[in-house]
Amino acid sequence: MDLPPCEILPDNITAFCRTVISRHSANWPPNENVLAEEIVDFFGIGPFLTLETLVQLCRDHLRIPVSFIELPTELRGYNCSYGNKREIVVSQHQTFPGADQHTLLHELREILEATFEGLGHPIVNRRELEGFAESFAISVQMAVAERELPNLFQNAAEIERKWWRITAYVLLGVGGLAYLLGCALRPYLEDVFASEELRQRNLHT
Amino acid sequence: MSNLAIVNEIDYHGLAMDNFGSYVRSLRKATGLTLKQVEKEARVSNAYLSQIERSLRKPPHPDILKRLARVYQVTHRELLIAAGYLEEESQQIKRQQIENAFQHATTDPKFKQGTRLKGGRLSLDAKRFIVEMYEKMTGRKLLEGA
Repeated sequence: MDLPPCEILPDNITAFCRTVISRHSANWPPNENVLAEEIVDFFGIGPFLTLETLVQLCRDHLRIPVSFIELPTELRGYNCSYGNKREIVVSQHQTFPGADQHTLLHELREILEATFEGLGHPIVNRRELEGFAESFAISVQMAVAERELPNLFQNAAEIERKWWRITAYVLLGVGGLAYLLGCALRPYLEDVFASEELRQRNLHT
Repeated sequence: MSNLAIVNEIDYHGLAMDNFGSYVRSLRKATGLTLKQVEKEARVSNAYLSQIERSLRKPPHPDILKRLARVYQVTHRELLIAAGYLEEESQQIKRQQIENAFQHATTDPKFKQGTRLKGGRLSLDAKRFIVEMYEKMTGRKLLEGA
């Protein structure tokens, strides 16, 4: 399996973790929604969350190399840290819409945890981390959308023609709801999709 | 049985299926038996045998393989290996090497790693990948041609 070259980069992610610790030390640990809000604020993520913006966040701001390669089938993503070296690898075979950006956020959360641990402020124990990383991935996507939706409604309010304005409201409402539901249900739907895929494969063998 | 290991069916059956079908067909041809004759001697339905030979079914249960081994005049062990139930010694050594390296990597306190999994367990391939990542991050070599 070809692995991308390993990079040693300045430890920028620690700055974010230190900020979170200093802001929330009185109520430690913060929950995943709070952590998601923090990362969105700290790095100014948005207005729209795409895979490209996330990769850019990891590479340019957090200095974490990200690669998309062929992984063993049961791995959707992988992350590791060793000293100040960090890396995220995402499976290039994730076919479910939005799965790759969800996976990237999941892996990012696990790297954050390793950094919090290193700073003596773990948020969760390793056995529970998987579940928390899933919640974090959902929360970040929702946080970005929740910040942008009011702006979009504001823009819609400025449409002069009544029926166009109402149509824009409806589209934004339906689209926003569908997006938020999609974010929340994605891990579940991915598993259902994967099970069905496996069932179909078994039927053919 | 001491130098053999029970292999996880999920890992090996898929790979073994195609080869196994043609392998048992060649064994039957070599003994000059028809499917009906094998059915009579091994007490295995000829329709089922035919499906196995055409790789339409997974390799049968080890108990059935034992009866077939007698009819096909090969050892039970030979059929178990062909069916993917047992590993040959060299494969077992490689597997053990990967398991040991994986254990080493995941217990290194400086090495933090995590996954997003489809399903609940890591295959040998995934463990090898994690070991390779460990080697890349630390610059240490744990696997020698495994």
